[in-house]
Amino acid sequence: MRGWILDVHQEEPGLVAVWFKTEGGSTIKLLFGYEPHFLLSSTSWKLEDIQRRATSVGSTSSEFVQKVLPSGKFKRMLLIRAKDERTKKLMLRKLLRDSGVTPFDADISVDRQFMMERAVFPLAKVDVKHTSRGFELTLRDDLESLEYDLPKFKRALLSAKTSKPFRLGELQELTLSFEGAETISYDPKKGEELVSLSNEVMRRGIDILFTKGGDGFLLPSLEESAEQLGVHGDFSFNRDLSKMDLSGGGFSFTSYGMVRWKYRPALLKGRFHIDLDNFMALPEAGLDGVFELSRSCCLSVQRVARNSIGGVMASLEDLVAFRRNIAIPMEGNQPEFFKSVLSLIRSDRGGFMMNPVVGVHEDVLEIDFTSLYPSLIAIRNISSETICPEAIEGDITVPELNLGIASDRFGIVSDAVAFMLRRRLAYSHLSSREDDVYDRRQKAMKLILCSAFGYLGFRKAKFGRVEAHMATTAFAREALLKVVGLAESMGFKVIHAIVDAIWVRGEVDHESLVRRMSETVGVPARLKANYRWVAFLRSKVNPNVPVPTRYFGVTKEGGIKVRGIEARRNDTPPFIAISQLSMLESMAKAPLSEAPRMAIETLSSSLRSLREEGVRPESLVIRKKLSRSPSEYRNRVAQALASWSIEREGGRVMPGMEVSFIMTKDGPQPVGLVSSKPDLGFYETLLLRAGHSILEPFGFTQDEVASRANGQLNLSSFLH
Amino acid sequence: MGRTIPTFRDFVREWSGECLRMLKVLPERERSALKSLLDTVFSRSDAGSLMPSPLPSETALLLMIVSLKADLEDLKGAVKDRGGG
Repeated sequence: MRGWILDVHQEEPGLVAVWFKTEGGSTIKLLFGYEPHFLLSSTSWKLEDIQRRATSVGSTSSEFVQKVLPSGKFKRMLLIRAKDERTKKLMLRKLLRDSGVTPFDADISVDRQFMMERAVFPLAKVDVKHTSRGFELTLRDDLESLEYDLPKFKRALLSAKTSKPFRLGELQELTLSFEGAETISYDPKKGEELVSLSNEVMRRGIDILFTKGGDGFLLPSLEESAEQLGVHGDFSFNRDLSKMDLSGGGFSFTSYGMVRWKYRPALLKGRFHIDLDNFMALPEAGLDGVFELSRSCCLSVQRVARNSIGGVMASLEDLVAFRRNIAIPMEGNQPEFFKSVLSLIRSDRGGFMMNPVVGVHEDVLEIDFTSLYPSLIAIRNISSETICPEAIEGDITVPELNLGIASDRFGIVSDAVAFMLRRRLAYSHLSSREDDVYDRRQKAMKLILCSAFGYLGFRKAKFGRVEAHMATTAFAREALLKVVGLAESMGFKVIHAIVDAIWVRGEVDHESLVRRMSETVGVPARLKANYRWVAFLRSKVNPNVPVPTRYFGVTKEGGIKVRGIEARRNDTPPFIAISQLSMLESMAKAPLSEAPRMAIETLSSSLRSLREEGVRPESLVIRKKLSRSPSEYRNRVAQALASWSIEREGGRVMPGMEVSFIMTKDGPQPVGLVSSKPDLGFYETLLLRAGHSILEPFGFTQDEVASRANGQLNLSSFLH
Repeated sequence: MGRTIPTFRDFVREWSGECLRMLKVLPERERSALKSLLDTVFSRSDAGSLMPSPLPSETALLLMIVSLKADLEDLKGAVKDRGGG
C-alpha cells in the first residue's frame, strides 16, 4: 500500500499512531510498537549504576551505545527507553537528580523520534507492508527532492459569531465552509447540531480544518459547550473521534525585545487544524511553505504552522545532528570563551552601517547580497562546535577577532543552513512567477534562514554559541567594508551602506560592480533596485543626524520602495498609510521637479476626505501591542485606555496581544465598542506628519506642509 | 547590535546627554558650538563604530577633531580662493 505519512502521535504506552493517506484518498490509522528514548552521559560506573536502577524508575529497556558529541568526540552513552513521553519525562526528572549526568536526545518529541529513527518524515511518500512483526514503512521519497507529490487535501473553514465583540458572550452561529463556496450553518446552543457539525467534518473526510481563533477560543469553547449539552462523547474533530486534547489559553513571551502572545495549540489527530490567527510568521509562504518546512525539518505540519521560525530552524539542526549520530543536547550549555574586556568590546558588535547622505539623490543603485548572513555561516563553516578560541594552522581566521574556525569537519548549524540555502536557490530558479508553489516554498526557506543568524546567539540554542554569532557579524562587516572600497575604487559614490546592501551612484556599468562584489565576498550579489530617485531622511529628534533605516524612492520602472516611514509601521491607521503611499504614487508619475507639488495635491485631497467625513471608520483603526498587562499600565496611553475598556466589558487582554481602537472625541475606543465620533483633529495631525515625512527631504518644514496642504484645499474649494 | 557592550551610537546618545548638562553655564555662542560638535559625532557614528575602544569618549573627541580639521581645510581653501593665502 503506497501513500503519505500525514501525522504521528503517541496513541497509548508503547504504541504510536501513524496517520496514513493512501494514493486512493482514504486516510487510515496504523499502530506501531514504539518506545521513545533518551541518552545519558557520565562516568562509566555512574551509568552502570543507573542502568541497574533503570527498570525501577520506569525504563522498559536500556543499552550502551557509541554516540558522537557535538564537539566531534566519540562517547559511550546509556540509551534508555520508556513506554511513553510522560514516563520519559518523569524518569529524566528522577535520574537527573544525580549530579554529573548529562542528558541528550531528551526533548525530542515522540513523533519526531519515531520518524527520525525510521528515516521517514511528515508528508513523505512511503510503502506500508503488514508483516508478522507489525507494519513496516519503506521510504519511497527523497528529502532532497524538489519535485514531490502531495496528497489532495480536502479543506474546510470553521468560523463563529459571538453575541458580543472580542469573542465575548455566547457563541451564536457556526459556519462550516467548503471549497466551492458551499456553507452549512449550525446552532451551537443545540447539542445535536454540534454532533451534526462534527459528523459533517468526518463524512466529508476533511483533511485540513481552518479556523480563526481555533486554538485559543473556538475549539475549546465548542468542547465546553458539548460537555454542557451532554454530547461530549459524540463531539470531536479528531479523525478517530477520540477526546480532543484542548487546554486553551496561552502565554506571553519576549522575542527580539517585543512582548508577544501565543495561544496553546489545539492539535487534532488524523487531520490538520490550522488556526489562521495563530499562523506564526508564515502567511506569505502559505500552506505550500508549511508543507515544505514540515518535510525538510521533520516537524509535524500542525507544529510548523504554529512554531516560531527559530523553533523550525532548531528542528532542522536536530535532524542534521541525528543523521550524523550526534547526541542532541537539551539546550545550549557551552560556556563563553574567556575574554579580556578589550576583546569583548572588539567582538560584541553587529553589522556595519554607513550613515546615509541625507536628501534626495537621483540615479541610485541598490545592490545587496542574497542571504548574506546564512551564506557566510554556510561558506565559513560557522557553528558552535567549529569555533575555536584561537586560530591554528589550517583554520579559517575570523577577521578582527582572535578566533579560528575548524576546517576539518562540517558544523551542524552550517550544514543545516547550507541545506536550506541550496533548496531556496533551487526553488528560486524553478519559480516562473510570483506566488507559484516554488516561490512560496522559497519564501518559507527565506523566513527560516533569517532566523539562522539570530538563533546562533540565542542562549538556549542547542547548537548555538555566542562566538559563532560574533564571527558571523565580523565576516559581514569585513564584507561590507570591502565592497564600499571596491565601489569607490570603480568610480561609484557610496551614498549609504547597511549590513548587506549598498546604495551607490555613478556612470560606471553596474553589472561589473555586482559581479565583482560577488567575487570579492563569495556570496551572490544582485541589483535590488535602480532608483530614479531616492530620499534618505534625517532624525525627527535631531535634524542634524541621518537615520539609516528611513528612506523612500521611486524606481526606474515606476515602483515605490519605502522603509521606516509611517506607511510601513504596523500601528499606522490604514487611511494614513494609504494616503502616504498615494502621495508617493503621484510623485512617481511626475518628473522630480514636479514631485513635491504632486505630493501636496494628494495630501490635500486626503485632508479633504478626512474633513468631509468621507473616511470609513475601519480605515482609522490603530493597532497597538500591549507590552504588559492592562493593570500594570501607570500612564494613560491609548492602548492602556482601550484595553481597560475591553476588560470592563468582560474581555481578557494579555501582554503581547494587540488592541485595535479608534481615537474618538472621548478618547480611544476599542473596535466593536465605538460609540463616539472619530477625533478628526487627531487624524489630521497624523496625516500632516506623514506628509512631512515625504516632503521634508525636499526642504519643507512641518508648518509649510500644513499651510501648503490647507492652501491647496482652500484654493480647490474656491474653484469648485 | 551589541549584546553586552552598548553600541557606539548608544554611547554617543548617552554621552551627549551628559555633555549637554554644561549648556546651563556656557555662554550663548558656546552652547551652539557644543551642540554642533556633538552633532558631528552623531553624524559620524558609523566611523566611530569601526574603532571599538574601552574609552569611546576618546573616539568621540577624535571625530570632533576630524570635523574641525576638515572645516579648517575648507576655510583655508576659501581664503586661498580669495587670494588671501
